[in-house]
Amino acid sequence: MKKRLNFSAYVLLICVSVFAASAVFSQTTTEKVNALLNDIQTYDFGQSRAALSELSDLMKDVLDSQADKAAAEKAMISFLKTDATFAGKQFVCKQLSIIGTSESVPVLSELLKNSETSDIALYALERIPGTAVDDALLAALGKSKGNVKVGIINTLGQRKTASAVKSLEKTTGDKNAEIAGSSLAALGKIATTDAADALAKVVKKSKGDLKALALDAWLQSADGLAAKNKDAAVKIYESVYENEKSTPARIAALRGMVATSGAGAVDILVKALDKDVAIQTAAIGLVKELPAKSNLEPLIAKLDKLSEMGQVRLLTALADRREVGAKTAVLSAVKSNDEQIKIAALKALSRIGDDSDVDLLAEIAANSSADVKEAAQLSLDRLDAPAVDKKIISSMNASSSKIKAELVRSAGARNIKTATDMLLKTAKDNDRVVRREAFKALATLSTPDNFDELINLTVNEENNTIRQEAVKTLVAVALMIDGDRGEKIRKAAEKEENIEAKSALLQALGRLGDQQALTLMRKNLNSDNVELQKAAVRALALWTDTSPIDDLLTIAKATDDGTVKILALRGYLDLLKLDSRRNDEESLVLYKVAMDLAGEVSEQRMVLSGVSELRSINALTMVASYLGNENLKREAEVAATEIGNRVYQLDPAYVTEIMNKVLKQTDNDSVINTANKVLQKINS
Amino acid sequence: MKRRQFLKAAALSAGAAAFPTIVPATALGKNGAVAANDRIVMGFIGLGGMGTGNLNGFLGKSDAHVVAVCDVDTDHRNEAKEMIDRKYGNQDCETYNDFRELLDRDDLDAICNATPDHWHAIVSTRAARKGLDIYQEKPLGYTIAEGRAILDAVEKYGIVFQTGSQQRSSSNFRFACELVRNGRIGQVDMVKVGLPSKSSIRDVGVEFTKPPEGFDYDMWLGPAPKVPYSPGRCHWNFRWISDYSGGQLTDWAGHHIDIAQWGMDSEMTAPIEIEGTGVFPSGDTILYDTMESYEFDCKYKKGFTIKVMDRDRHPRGMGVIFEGTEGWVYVTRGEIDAHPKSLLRSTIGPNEVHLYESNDHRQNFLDCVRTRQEPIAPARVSHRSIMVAHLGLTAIKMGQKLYWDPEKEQYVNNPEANRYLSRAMRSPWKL
Repeated sequence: MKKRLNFSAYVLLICVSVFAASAVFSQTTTEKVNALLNDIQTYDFGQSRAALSELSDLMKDVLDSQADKAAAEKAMISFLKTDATFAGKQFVCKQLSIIGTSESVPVLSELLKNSETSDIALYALERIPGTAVDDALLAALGKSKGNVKVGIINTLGQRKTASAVKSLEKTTGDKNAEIAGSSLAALGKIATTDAADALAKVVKKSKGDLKALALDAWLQSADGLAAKNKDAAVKIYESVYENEKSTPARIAALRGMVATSGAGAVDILVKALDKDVAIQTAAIGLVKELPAKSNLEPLIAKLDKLSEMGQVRLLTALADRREVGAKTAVLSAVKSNDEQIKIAALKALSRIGDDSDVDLLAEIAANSSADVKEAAQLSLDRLDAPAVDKKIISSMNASSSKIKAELVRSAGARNIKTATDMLLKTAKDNDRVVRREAFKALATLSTPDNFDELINLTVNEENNTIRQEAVKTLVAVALMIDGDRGEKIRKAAEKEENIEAKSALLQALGRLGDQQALTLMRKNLNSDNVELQKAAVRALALWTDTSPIDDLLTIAKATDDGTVKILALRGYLDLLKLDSRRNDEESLVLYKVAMDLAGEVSEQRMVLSGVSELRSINALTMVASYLGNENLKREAEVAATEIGNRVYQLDPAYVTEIMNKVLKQTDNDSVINTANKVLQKINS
Repeated sequence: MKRRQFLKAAALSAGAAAFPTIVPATALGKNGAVAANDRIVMGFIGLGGMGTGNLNGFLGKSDAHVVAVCDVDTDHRNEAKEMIDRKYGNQDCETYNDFRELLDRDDLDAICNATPDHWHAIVSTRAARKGLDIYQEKPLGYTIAEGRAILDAVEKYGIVFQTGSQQRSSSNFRFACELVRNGRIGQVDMVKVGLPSKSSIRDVGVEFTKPPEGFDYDMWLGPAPKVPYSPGRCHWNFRWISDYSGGQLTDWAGHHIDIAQWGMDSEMTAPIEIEGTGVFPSGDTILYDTMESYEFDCKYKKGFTIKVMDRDRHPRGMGVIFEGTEGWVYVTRGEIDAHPKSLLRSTIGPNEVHLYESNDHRQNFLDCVRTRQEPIAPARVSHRSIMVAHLGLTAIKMGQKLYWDPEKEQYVNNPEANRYLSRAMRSPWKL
């Protein structure tokens, strides 16, 4: 017993302590609110927002306690009764919009009477729940005018105050267009049957802008009514759809009819397809809104009777729904002579087709051009029915070269791993297009296990273009190898005697940036055989970092062979762009060296392209020196404006001079725009 | 500039393009009646930074024709007119101070709405009621309710609506999301989104003065509370004032939060629990009051969390990290990274999820205006992307963990939080 008493006393003690602590905390928060409100009384726009920020922050604590909220509201109500500044009252009304209750309504109602303060009162009133606010707004409505009245009406609408319908019905007839318009919008939001009836009357008798507003509001009331009084909503939709001229309103009504008609929606859309093009278009857009298991046969039957654009849109809508029942119609549309319809049908096939469509799609992809080809390819690549992959592999054997190439390409695009063996065989096909596609696909599908075979295929490939593709494949697979990625390629390159094959392997090493291959590269650079030099230069130009940049510059300076020089210079310029650690002045020096070496206009243009990326006044001076060069002036103009855009703050006067010089001579729109922007920045 | 782009730029010369016929919308009945070979007739509302950027972009499209511009700043609209007239070689572009007059034209097919955030809903809902297709800058709405109003209007009137969340039209972002959607990094329980931190205020002065000649300040304020003019309030800097925007968070939600939602296939929903903290400017500032630093967790019904934070708190600064049980994917502008690296070479197969492919955001809009297909960043998607930011902002402002019902778009058992869903507009403005 003694023990129990002690426990009870302990619990009591805790309760008292918690209550006391809470009271202290509560008092502290309230005191802080009062002190801050005192500061805010004289706050005006343009002064420090310190007290405002602090009170905003304190509101988090206020929200945690009913007592604090009540106390803060009380203090704010008192605040609004003082002659505090407008800025202060505006801020306080924002706070009351969150914590205010019916207690705040009287003081806010006072503010509502004054056109200067009515908006800030509504700011709070609109968010405060309860009928006290509605009553206050309705009481103020009759006594207000102009924008104050408009504001009250808008707030009644936002609050969906059903008791305001009669008053608002009257104000729909107000001579002030804002008042009438706001009343219509408010009735639309309130969306009771009374509100809808009131709107119906206005729709019948009004015209022009008011009619448009009334129609929108009437439709909005129907949307609001749809869940609770479907018949009333349908009546409105049908009336607007059948009787009104406004296209947007009829479209909105059609949407409402479809949404409320269940299984009957398909028939509504079928009939709509016979209307004008805007309604037809809207109807097709609504196909996606139909319930999942709707019978779309009547719609599909209308497909070939639609305009070209109508067919395209309906095919797309059916495809989006994966409407398998449309397959026959889609296959028929694939044969259309109209390219747009054909493309839409091909795209649709990717969504509703299966393995039986593989041959058709490959054949169209192989024998069509441009957009149709692209659509057929995409469709073939996206067909996701079972057995499609298997069908693609099996069809490769039996197809013509053109079709085979498409199937091979698709195997890569579809990432068909089981096609790898077949692709390694097709990489030896007699047809070079097939071989090219096979190498492309193998870049995705091969693994390091296939590496030896890929090296052999690369070495044995005789067509230079396709060999380049083989090199890319080789590199893609080499990148999957852990450890010394270049080892096998280096060995193959060292023993390879055919210059072109050797060159291909060196390029693969270049693309890999294989540091261990640099010795091999230098050996070839120093060879007496110009072809070997070219092979090495080509490979070094592809390097992934700047390691061989000096090698390229050296050979560009030393060689007597024009091709080697151009290749080396191009490679040098490419590698120059790779190093982000060099500062722009250092880069400029290197570009100037390149410019001195560049014999051809095309190389000089490339130098200007590189310089255009620098942020340097000296770079601007360099490119500006070519503005008068007939062969280089266009590139110099672009480069000057690009650099000017970066350096205008460093020397505005000089940049202005150059920009004006450019503007004086150029007819390039893009250059004019950039130059003007630079000048604007300088002058602003 | 890449060498090819450089040489291409150098090769361009004025007036080379040949254009198809202009057929105004009136001749065709609007609402999707643009024929295949006709140019889409556009009006531009809001010609500040983003508006001018969009204008430049659309002027470069051979299938768009801009006939009218509207801005409350005379300088802005005159500069825009000059650009347009120079492009077309005539003086035909009309200028407007009041967007309602522009929308009343009967020759428009579409508009571009690049007004400040607090104007988005008023302009776009009105345009939708006119049956005009809309390219609108993000964020979708200043509040969740305003975003919902735009979405409702767009759906109701069958409008093609593209949000300016152009990252969706970048292959990097699409590929990153496809990797995630196709389970390449296993199950993803955490997504970390990094957005800019401190407000990037442009120093144009904050003194309170008379509005400059030619600037309709009252119209600029529109539905926002009445306050005196300051140059630091308008144009670029509106973003840092809560009467008009939600700061960096809402300015960028339409980008990286949008990508997080895309990757997680949560585009049509929103988190159910939101909790976090943020730092607002101290009292030293006299104008700017949006968050400078923030971090909040958004837990979704499926169990994963999207953690949104400013760049100073994010492991990679800006961008999105999807963290999975078998790896991770990081994506931001101009960069994609993954672990394992081999993911970056992986191919998305035919039986896998292929996301909407667009490589040109504005062209995607124009194409959809013709085909009536949904663009890549429609209102129903951007409504949810910005919703995440609004929810986070409210949770931080209230200092509470909030519970959200994504279906009803209401906070659960929290009437005070629900008050943040909308804001009263200054009379006479309304939705």
